Formats: sequence, structure tokens, C-alpha cells
Amino acid sequence: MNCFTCENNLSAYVDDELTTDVRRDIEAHLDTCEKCHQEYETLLSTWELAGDMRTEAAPDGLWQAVEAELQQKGHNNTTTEDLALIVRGLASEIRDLKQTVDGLRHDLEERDNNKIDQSDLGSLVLQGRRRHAG
Amino acid sequence: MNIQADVALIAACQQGDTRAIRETFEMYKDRVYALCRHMAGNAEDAEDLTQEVFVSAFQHLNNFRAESAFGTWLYRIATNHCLNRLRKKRPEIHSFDAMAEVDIAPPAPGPSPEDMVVRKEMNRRMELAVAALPENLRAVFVLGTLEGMRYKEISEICECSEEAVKMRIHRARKQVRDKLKNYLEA
Ligand SMILES: [Zn+2]
Repeated sequence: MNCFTCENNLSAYVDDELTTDVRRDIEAHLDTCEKCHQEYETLLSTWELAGDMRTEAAPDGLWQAVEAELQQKGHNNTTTEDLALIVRGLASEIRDLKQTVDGLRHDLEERDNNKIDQSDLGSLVLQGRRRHAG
Repeated sequence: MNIQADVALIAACQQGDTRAIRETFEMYKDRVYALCRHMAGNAEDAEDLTQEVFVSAFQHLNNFRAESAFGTWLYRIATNHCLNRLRKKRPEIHSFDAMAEVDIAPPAPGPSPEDMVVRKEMNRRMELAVAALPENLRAVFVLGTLEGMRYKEISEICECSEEAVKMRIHRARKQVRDKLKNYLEA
């Protein structure tokens, strides 16, 4: 497994969402790659910190508010809101796809850059930064 | 999600059985509140959001088909409702960068009163980092990292592929990590 694939799978690895085969490949790679191992450690810490975020139980009196509003409004079967939900869902899918494509393009560019001589690396990084800043 | 209202309970709700509706509310209120709390980043908005989510869900119970679990349907309503409200609200709750100027000491070794303060401060910073995420990333981060849901359920709630969930969670977590970087290294 290369660093590119390993890095992309690290959150899923932390979340235990990988197949046994992929998990073993990740572990083998982490054993030998300091860079990915560090990346893993910081993602794990983030996950642990997030788990520490305690959420209080819902406050009292919520049911009374819900009940009062339900009585006032009554049940309704209009689907306009549902249609709006669907449209919003589609819009977010499109945004997501665009982001995915952008991400893939970015990763591919990075990979191409890595193939090029070390001597060219400095100027490429600068170019890349300018491109991303722009 | 361990808790799931059964088909009979939801059917009773759909018939307008107030006791069943109350029972369903009690069953899900803490989870929905937690979801709203993390999405909104503050308690006041979370309370309003939770109320609105339940009113909307109970009003549209007839649109629930037992194809998905009731919880999934409810969390989908909650997620979309929060995203919708956040979009309208836009003015940033607090700016993370403004907060970053306040210096806090790195955690001291061993348990101490300072640890509690630091931990509280970390949570607050995490909250701000989450609030700074783009909406679609925030939703998966909240569901996956704060609520601990599996990718499959998140994909059903967010109506996207599991692969998309995986990528978004990874992206979101890296962004949160970068915001907290100084403290993670301390
Ligand atoms: Zn590596």
C-alpha cells in the first residue's frame, strides 16, 4: 500500500469501517511509514477529543412546547416541505460531487508533483500554493 | 443507534395516538437534542431546533414509510432542518480565529483542577472548529464523530453513498484537526 491510499483510509481505519484486508494493509504500512503514522496519531487524537464532548440531556419542558405547537398546528400532510427537502438533498449531492472531483484533482496533482525531481520541487510547491491561494 | 421505535409504536403515532407520540418523543429527545446541539454549536438554538424537528416530524408522520428505520428518518429530518436553519442564520456564531487569540496553557501532567479547565476549553474549541466546517462536512462530522454512527446509517441519513461519507468524514476530521493542531501537539 502506498501513502496516498493509506492516508485516504485513515479516518475509516480509526472508525473501524474497513474490511479486514484493507485494515491489515494499513497496519503494515503504518508500521513502516513514519509520516502516515504521525498523520494517524493526530487523527486519532481528534477523534478522542471529539468523543470527550459531552452533551447534556435535552432540557425539561421541551415536550410541553412540542405538544402545544402540535395542538395549535394540527397534523398536516402537505408535501411541499418534503419536496423542498428532496431538492436540498440533491443540491448537496451536487456540491459533494464537485468537492470530490476537486479533491481527486488536487490529489492527482500532488501525486504528479511527487514524481518530479527534487530539484523542481520547491518551485512546484510555490506554484501550487499560488494556484490554491488564487 | 441502539434504540429504535418499533413499527407498532410508529403506527400508533400515525393514527394520532398522543401517548405513543409522547413515548416516541421521550425515546429520541436526547439524541435529537445532541444532534441539534452539535450542529448549532450552542444550547439556545439547539432547544429551538429540537422543538421544531419534533413538531415537523410528528406533523409529517404519514410520509414515513417503514423502508428505513424510524430513527434514520427522524435524524434525516433533524439534519436537514439544522442545515437549513444554519444557512438562513449565517452570521458566524463566534469566529474561531478570534478565539485563537486567547491563550491557554497546554495540559499539565496528572489530574488537576487545571485539567478540567483545559478540557472544557478544548471542548469549546472543538465546538468552534466544528461550527467552522462547511455544512455538508459538519453534518457527517457530527453524525459520525460526535454521535458515533456507522457510515451506513449516515449514508442513509444524508442520502449519499458510504464512500462519500467516508471521504467527507476524513476531510472534516482533517479540517478540525488542523484547527486544533497547536493543542494536539502540546
Ligand atoms: Zn505512508
